[in-house]
Amino acid sequence: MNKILKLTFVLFLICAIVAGILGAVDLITRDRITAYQTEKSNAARAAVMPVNVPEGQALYTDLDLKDLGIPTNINANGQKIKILSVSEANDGSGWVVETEFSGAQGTIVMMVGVNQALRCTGISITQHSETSGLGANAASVAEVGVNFRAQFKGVDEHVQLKKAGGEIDALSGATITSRSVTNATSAAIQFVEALQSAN
Amino acid sequence: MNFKKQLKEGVITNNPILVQQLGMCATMAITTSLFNGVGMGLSVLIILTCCNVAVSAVRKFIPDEIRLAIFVVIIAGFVTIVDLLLQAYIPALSESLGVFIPLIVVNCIIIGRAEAFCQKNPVGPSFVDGITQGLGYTVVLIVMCLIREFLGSGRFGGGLIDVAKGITLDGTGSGIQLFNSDYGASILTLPVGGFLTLGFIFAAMQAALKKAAKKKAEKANEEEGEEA
Repeated sequence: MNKILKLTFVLFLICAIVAGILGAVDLITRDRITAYQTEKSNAARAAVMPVNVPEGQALYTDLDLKDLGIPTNINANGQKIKILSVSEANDGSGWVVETEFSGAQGTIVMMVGVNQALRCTGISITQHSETSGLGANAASVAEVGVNFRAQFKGVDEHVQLKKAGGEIDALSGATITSRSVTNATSAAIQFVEALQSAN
Repeated sequence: MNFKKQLKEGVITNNPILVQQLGMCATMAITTSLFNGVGMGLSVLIILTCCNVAVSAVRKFIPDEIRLAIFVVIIAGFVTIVDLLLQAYIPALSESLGVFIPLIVVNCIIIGRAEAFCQKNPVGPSFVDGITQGLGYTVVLIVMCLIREFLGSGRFGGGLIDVAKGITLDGTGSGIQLFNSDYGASILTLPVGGFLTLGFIFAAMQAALKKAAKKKAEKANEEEGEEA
C-alpha cells in the first residue's frame, strides 16, 4: 500500500511540475501564436475576397454556423462538401466560405470568396495532401497553380470542368483534384445563396 | 567518457539513425528540403539534450516501476515547449514540419537514450550524449535532404538559402536551382524516395563500418605478427 502511494506521489509531482512549466510557456507564447493565426487567416481571406475598410478596423466578422440554421453539408455534383466556417467582409462586399472536402489523396481545406451577385471572387487552398507535381499544383504559387485558380474568378454555382461541359480547364494528370475543387466552389456559392435567402 | 569518443559514437559508430535505426518515420517524411532537415534536426537535438539532462537529474528519485511513464511525461513536456516556441517564433518551420514536431514525443531516439544511457549516467555525460546523438541525427537528415532535393527537384538549400536574399531563416528562400526541376526524378520527393535514399545510405554506412573494422583487424594482426 505504501509503495503504491509513493509511486502515485512521484508521478503526480512530476506531472505537476511539467504542467506548471507548460502553463508558463503557454502564457508567453499564446499572444504571438493567436496574432500569427489571425494574420494568416486574414491573408488567406483577403486573397479570395479583398475588403476595403478603414485602417484599424477588423476586416471580417466570423458568423456562427450553428446560429445560421443552414445545412453545412452540401452535395455538389454528387460530392459531399463540408462548410467549416463563414465570415462576412466588413465592407459588405461578400462572404468568405471555408470548405473541407476529399481530394485525390486526402482532405483539402479551401477558402472561397463569394460576392453579393453570387459569383466566386477567388479560391485559395490552405491545406492539402495532394500528389506533389500533379494535384498539388492546385495550391501551388507557380504559374500553373495561379492560372488554374484564376479560372474560378467570376464563375457561378453551375461551374463545371470542361470534361463535363463547363468552363474550367482541369490540371493535367489531376482530374480528381480539379473536379473536387470545382465542386467545392459550387458548394460554397450554394451555401451563400442559402445564407442570403435566410436573411 | 570523453567528448571526442562520444561525438564519434553519436555521429558514426552508434549513429541514432544509421546504426541504432531509431526515429526513421520522421526521417523519411520530412527530408524534402534543407530547411526542414536542419529545423527538425535542431529541434530533436534541443529536445533530446533537455530530456537527457532532466531524466539523468531525476534518475535517483524515479521508482523503477513507473520510469517509462515518467520519461514520457518529461519528453512530452519538452516537445510541447519546443512546439509552442516554434509556433510563436518560427511559424514557417512549424507549418512545414507539421505533425512531426508533436510526434517527437514518440520518437524512439529520445526514449531510447533515456532508457539506455541517461538513467545510468550522471548529468554531464548525459548532456554531452544529447548533443552528440542529436548531431548524429541532424547530419543524417541533412545528407538525406541534400540528396533528395538535388535529385528530386534539382535544388540546393530549399527554404534556407535564396539567391537574392542570402540566408533566409523564415523558410521563404527558393534555394539554388542547379538544373530545371522538370528533369528531376520527382519520385525522390515522395515518401518512397525517402525509403530508397535511406536504404542506400544504410548500405553505404554498413560498408564503410565493415571496411573500417576489417582494417582495424588487419592492423592488429600485423602488430601481432611483428611481435612474434
